[in-house]
Amino acid sequence: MRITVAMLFLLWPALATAQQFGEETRVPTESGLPEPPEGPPPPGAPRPPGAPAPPTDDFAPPPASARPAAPPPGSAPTTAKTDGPNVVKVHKDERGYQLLIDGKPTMVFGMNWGYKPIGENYTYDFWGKPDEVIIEALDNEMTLLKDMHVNVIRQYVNALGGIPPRWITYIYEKYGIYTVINHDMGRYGMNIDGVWVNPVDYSDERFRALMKEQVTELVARYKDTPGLLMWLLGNENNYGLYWKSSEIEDLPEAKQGDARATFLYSLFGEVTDLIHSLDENHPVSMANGDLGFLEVIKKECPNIDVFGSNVYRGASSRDIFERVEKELGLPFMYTEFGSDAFNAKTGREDQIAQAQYLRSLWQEIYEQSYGKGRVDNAIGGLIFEWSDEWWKYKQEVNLDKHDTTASWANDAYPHDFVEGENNMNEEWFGIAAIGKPNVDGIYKVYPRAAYYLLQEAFTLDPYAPDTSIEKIRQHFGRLGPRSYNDTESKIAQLEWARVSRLRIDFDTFTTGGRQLNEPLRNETRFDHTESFYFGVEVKPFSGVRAEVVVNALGNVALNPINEIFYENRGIPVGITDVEGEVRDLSGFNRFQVYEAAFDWDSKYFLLESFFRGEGHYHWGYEGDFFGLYPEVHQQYDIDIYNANVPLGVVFSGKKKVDGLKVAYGPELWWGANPTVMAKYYRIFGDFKFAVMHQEDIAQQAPGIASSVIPQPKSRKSTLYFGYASRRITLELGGITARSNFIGDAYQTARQADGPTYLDSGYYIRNNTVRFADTLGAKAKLTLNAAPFFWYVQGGYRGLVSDGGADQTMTITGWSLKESGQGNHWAVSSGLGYYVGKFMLGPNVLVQRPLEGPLPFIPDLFDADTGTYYPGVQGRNQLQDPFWVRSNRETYGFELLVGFDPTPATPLWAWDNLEREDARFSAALDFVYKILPTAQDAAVAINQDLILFAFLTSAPARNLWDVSLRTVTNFTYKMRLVNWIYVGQGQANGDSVRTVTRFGTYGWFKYGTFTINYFLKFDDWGPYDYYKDFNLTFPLQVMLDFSYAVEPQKMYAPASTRFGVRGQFRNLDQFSGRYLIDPQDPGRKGREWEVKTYVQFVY
Amino acid sequence: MFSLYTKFSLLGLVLVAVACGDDPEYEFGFNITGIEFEFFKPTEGIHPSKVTLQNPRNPFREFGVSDDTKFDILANGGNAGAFYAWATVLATIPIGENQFFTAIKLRDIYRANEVAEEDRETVRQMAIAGFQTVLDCFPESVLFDATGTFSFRFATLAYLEILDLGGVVQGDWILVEDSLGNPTAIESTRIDTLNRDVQCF
Repeated sequence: MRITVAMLFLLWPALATAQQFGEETRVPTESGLPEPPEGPPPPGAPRPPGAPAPPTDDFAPPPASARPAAPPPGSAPTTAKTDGPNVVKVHKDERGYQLLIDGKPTMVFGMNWGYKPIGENYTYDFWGKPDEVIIEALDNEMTLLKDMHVNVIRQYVNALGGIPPRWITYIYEKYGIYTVINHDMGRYGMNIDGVWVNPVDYSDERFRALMKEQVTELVARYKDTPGLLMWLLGNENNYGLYWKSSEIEDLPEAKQGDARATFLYSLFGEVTDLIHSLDENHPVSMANGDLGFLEVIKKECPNIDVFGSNVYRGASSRDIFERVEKELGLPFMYTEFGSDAFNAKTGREDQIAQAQYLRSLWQEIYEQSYGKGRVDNAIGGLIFEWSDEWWKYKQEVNLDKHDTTASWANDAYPHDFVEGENNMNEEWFGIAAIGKPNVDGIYKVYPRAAYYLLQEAFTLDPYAPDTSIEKIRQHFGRLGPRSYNDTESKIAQLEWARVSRLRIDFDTFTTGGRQLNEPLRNETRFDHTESFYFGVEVKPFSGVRAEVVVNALGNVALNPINEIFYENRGIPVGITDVEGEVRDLSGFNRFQVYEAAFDWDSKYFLLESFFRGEGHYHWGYEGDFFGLYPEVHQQYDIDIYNANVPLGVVFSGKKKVDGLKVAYGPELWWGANPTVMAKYYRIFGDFKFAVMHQEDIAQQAPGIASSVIPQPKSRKSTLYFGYASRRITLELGGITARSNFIGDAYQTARQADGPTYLDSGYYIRNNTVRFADTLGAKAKLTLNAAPFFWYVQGGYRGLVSDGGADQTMTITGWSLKESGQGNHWAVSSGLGYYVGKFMLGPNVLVQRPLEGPLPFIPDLFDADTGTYYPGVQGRNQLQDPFWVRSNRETYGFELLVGFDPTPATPLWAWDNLEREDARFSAALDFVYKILPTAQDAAVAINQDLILFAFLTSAPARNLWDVSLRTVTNFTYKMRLVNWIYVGQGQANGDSVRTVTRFGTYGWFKYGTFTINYFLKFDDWGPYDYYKDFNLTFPLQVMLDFSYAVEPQKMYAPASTRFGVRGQFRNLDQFSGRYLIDPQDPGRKGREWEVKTYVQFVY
Repeated sequence: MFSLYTKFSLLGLVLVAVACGDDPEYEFGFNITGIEFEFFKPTEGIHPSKVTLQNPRNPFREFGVSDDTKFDILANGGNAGAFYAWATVLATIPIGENQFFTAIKLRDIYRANEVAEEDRETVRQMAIAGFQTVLDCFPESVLFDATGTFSFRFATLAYLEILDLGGVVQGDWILVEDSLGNPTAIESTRIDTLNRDVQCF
């Protein structure tokens, strides 16, 4: 498999299990719980408290119908050996090579096997599941594999984890299937002293020593395991020789590849010898990338027993057997080979082609095997792969979408190859399709034609005395893939058009309150809402997809205490007719498009258009150094305002226009002006370069949330240069923004003694924007000296050189960052230090505006002279070319402390809350900000939905904030994600009151049962206007119980479920809707709501 | 063609040149009682138009007039000065009070003949349009007295002003008497308002 394929799916269990929270309890081997030396506990053995129940059908034979008709003599053992390790040897004589297992010649009918339910990715920890789940899955899958006559699977492990030995034995004893243990040898990085390093430096003695330590532990752990077949090193490590080190960089470029390979394969050679010294019973092989660096392998790995290789050469591997024999003198085994089951040309599943390729390849293996008179060095292969993996394309998004995007090109598969286009579909390599998982992650597989074809193919004993070339050809010639084209697997195949969404929401609301200024809200009321979603997806051509989802309303409740929600567009409107009677109009937009998307993936470009939907990512990691293109997510926050965003189209060039991206649309992110922006980004060796321009086409009409008030129409251009060496990354950028503001007037204030304007203590001056005010620059230096990481950043921004917020993450998840606004200079620096499972991250920021905020000076009219003295008030984005808000003078300090036993699921990854696999992880963030000045004025929306600017802002005030986020995995399906926070905050508007708030919120999940909750004291309400006007509640409580048909995901709240949610708030003089009781002025008001909901989602 | 030194020198000169500009001006007061009204655009002072902020004769176009001061100007700033002050406030804070008093000043300019003769009828129409906007866009706005106590609905005052200026009230507004016998303008239905496609935002 090529580089991108990366085999993380197989690697991951090893990485994840290696540092698992559950390892102590979920894998009895490491738990201290009594366990038989190998294999499951015997029937009737006492079970310790808390230990998982043994399978009741342990070692029960599969049903007769599932048993193979006739196991080929050369495939599986007739009787499993249970009294110790199998003795596996490579035999060579004048007739060729054979693998002897306990003395019996055995061809490897192997399979790359993994277990990843739809919706999961490489972080999924199958071996961390309870025994009963593992047994169910293994029994489902191994039965099928055994029926197919597969006798070997491949599993990634490392010294700490991966498949526990007892499961190797279980699979072997129950199904006669051996396991190849594969250490990736740093292919996807390595945890070195608590820091994840990728790519690893094979010349680094520390790494090499650590690797040998791991392998030593690995061998000790597995070598006596019945069912272990072979040690396998690496996975296409020759495709990942990109590390930088002084030894390499001193060489001429042409020699750097060979030098890196020498370091890589010398380590393989040393590890091979190490394994041989520790284990005499199992051979050592490698998973090379095709035939790369054979000369180096010959020299550096003289004692490797079997040459293994991942090969994707189409229907024939041509000279591969000859070259391995001639150049290495070794037996050959495919460690990956095969074909995907998707035709990129037709845009359809293609079981026939996949089966044909595999038939041809296996015929070749048979013909090249021992005693056939050809090269005679083929000992078998491991098919890539058992079942489809829906996460492979993009790996962290669209995990529940069976993506049909081909991600690499290979002309060895001519049936769907078109010059210049990709044809290899990563998510379709399975010889079986998979269905949706149940609560435990167990899913059904649907074998494709290749499964049945190979099942019959493997009935031919390759080592029978009468198995000749001619017999092999006759045997394979009889196998016609079309006769195996299984209709069942079509359940999972692509369809031309399908119902992509069906969602039905039934909600009821029972509400009431006390001392609320809207009389109806004081009554106990009941109402209900019905909302319906229906979506259709069409894929008329390969690479083209379109989807439309519409929403229709039933009744819309009038009484929810959170008055802003998606369906409230349908609230009835009452009017009085000429007769004086009140008439109801049934609301507007009762039927509207909820979201739509259109994608076109051609060989020259990828065109993605979106109307609402899933949003898009920022370009911060590809040259957008000033944050001009922000990412858009949090659909719920957009939904409730019924905003039709994001709306636009993004063009991403390929081939000669690779690196070019153009985004164009009426509102690419919420609050964006109609704009077109283009970016050209290229990487030249260690250097990166980007140029970007944004041109607003018109001024956007204001929305209905103050957080997304459109910026003034403008244009912006940026330049970016980056350089990355082994340890240092240097980035430089320049920006010119809002040149259309040149000449615009603005005021500045200077404190002064003596006579001042209106005796305010300030001189007030009028000025105009100049070209220099549009310019800005930023530089950032990052040092990687693991376990220390350090960055320093400095920036200067002219008055109007506004960019956007920095959405990238530097080293760790610091929240204290330089403003993206113009009118400031700033320096920030942070250090990340990893010590064991902890990370300490101090971070400082010094930021000062070039022109500070304007003071508030009331205007004055002198009636005697008729002279008007204009007042001065905070600048604002409606009237002024620049303003001081997030760029206010700040001296900030932040200390971030992380505890993360499993750094492979980083604490600050965007999906960590869903993926974190440690038993307990935590992030404590303390921020203290010295804010010596006020700000200019914020803009908000009044109750008539009209924009206005406050006259002043919250005052100068130092603020602190502490938050603690914890993720606790009590068991594999019981998780608590919790935040505790306490801190101070200021209103966006002009309120002088500083809020000191505290509370907790989070969610608890147990299987398909979920509790969402919050408990907040003296905090703002749910919408941005609460913060604008400093409206707080003394107490807010919410508790939501729901039960779903499948585990609910945090980032996909819609699932088929039912639940009940209770909310309660106290109100006082700082709350909205509060009506003071003249008889008891101190008495608090209240409002409450009980919501029930039933939701069906397809 | 050019050395690196020359290129950087040129770049430096360009930056210095563009960075240098006129010195800033200090802020002082200005007289408004002597201002004369001059017709600019027929929508000036009528919500949702913000055209007054582009009127070079409007001395307030770059300033925010405070709530306290706007009433001082209303009383003592002269009709034209007060009109520009209130029109500016209306353009930045569009509420019924600001619309009503902007229209009041248009009415006063018309009545005091403080406009060129050829524009006088236009100003009368502008005043009527201003009052009509109170009805169309701010029908629930109320006038508070100095103590902050509810005093009167602007809609009723605007209704009467339109009649006083010889205009015709648009929409389904009717004048009725409340329980105290005071005249009160009410809107029987918004159908006509909807039909006229009134723009309030």
